[in-house]
Amino acid sequence: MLYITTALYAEARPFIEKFSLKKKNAISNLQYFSNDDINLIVTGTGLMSAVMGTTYLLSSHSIQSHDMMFNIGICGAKSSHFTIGEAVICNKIVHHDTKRAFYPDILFQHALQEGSLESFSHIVDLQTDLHLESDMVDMEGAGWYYASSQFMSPHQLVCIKVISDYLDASHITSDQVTTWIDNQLPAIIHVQAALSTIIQPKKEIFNEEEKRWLDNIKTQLRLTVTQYHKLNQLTMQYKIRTKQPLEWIAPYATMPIVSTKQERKEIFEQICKQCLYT
Amino acid sequence: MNKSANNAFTPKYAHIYIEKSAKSYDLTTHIMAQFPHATIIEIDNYKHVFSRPRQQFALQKEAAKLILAVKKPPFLYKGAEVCHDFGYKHFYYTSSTLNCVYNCDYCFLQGMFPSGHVVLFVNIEDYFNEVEAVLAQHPLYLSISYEADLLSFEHMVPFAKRWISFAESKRNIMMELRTKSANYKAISSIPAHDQVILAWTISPQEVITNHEPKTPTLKARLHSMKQAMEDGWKVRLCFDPVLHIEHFESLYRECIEQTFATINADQIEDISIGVFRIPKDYLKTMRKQRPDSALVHYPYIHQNGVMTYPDEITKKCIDNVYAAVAAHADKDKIFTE
Ligand code: SF4
Repeated sequence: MLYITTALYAEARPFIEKFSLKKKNAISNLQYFSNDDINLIVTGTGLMSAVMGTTYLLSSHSIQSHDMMFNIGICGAKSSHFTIGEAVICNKIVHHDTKRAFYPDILFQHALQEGSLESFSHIVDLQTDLHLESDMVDMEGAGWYYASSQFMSPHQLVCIKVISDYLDASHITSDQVTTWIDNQLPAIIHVQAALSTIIQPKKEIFNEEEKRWLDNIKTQLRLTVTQYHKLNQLTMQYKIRTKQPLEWIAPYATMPIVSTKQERKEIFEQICKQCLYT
Repeated sequence: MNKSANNAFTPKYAHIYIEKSAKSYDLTTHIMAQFPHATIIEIDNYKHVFSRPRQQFALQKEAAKLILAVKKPPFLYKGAEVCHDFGYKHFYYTSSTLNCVYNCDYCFLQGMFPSGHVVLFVNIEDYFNEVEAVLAQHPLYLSISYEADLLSFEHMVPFAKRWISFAESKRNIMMELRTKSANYKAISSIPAHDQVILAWTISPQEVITNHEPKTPTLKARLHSMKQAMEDGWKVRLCFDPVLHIEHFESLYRECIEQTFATINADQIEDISIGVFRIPKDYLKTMRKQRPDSALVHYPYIHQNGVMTYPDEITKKCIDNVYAAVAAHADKDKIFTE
């Protein structure tokens, strides 16, 4: 699943249109769009809004190790090192007020430039007396990262900012914002594809039938908790090591319930022996 | 990991995190010069990157980053119970790096560290100062590659050379540099002296291929070891960890035969033999990190906080390796756990 947060509807619009996202009912102030693979929330501007929207989005789902969380939006750049309309991946996100820094773990290859982002709780422009530590400024990144990192690993979090101005955002229109993000959509999709290649879903060791057999053996042999744990560990190791199915264990799952501890012990040891070389 | 996934990872050390306080050190300059195209990210404290919650050690090993930092005291730690102390009373270890360039299935670092990225501490002089202070009180047996394979980093940062040179003038220190690398040539310019033991971990080639990814072959390790012995260094052979894998008897026997066909047993300082053992909590973490490793998911038993093989398997492993080694080497030189 891909989760996306943006601050503005204008930033979300290219995703909504490209992926035919449908509006969902959500709590007020948050616009929520989704399809089978993507959940997107428009959080509103500001750090608090970013924290709240992100938390709402992630806490209402069961997060998996192969899920991804993107924060997409426009930002101001400190210098012309970045060009207007360029997409930049943030490798460091600083909360300006507390100076706390966050570091997304960029493990995937990509073709974009990287830079550092500083998140303010107020609008920043050339008139503001600033000691900027970072290359770019916004009003959400640090809040988004802080909230997301409560649910996900640092390599699942990707913050992509599209440069909208050099600390003078007074003349930006919402159509411009949508155009900038829309132009960068292929690059953003590319990043998402690169990340999804390296975070494949976890492979289950046992199939459903094997899980049933193991459960039945627990009942038929009246296994103790410790024995059942050992059975799971041994059969798991057997499967990883041999890459063979567990079919030979099936007859034990349908045998009559054991009547004595001695009988249980003998059969259990027999299974253990079959799992492991000596 | 499939091939396309491998290609999707950033190259090794594509990102370098540098503590602001580490920038002025010579070693930082030396390391940075080797990565002119890396993305540099300034940090206040290495733990802000290294200790982030929920990191994926195994994934990070595929796209490792470098973190250059200044170590704060302490610089020396007492050796753990599960480790051989070779009869020395004051057994300490020190870590100039956190993590390793290799990626052994059974490596305890993946259970111990929150991150697979590599930390290099650039203030090596501070380590030397603390060692000097301890040596003023008592002798020291010091392992310098306890939490990494230091020699494998030597092309990037000359830690091993610096440590070995430091030890030369000290009379009451015994320093162990343990490695799986075949990188002896990186330190071969230093004249041999008695304060250092170079220890090689030796494994059957099948173990190297299947469980010690990215490490040099058995042949290359033995060749490196032979050169060190010929140059006059004390050399330790470590069959540790011995792994209870299928056909382990024949695999270890052949490995031991190959070893003693290459090197002269009489010139070996000593030989250590030990089976796989790991603190319980580390194994728990490792099992999450390595869902596909048969070694990590072996049904180990719990003994005093440590997970290891059942006694009969331990005995079988040790006895087999011991017998094969003792056929070539003086029994007084063989240490078992
Ligand atoms: S060589 Fe040692 S430290 Fe390095 S990965 Fe292997 S076991 Fe771990």
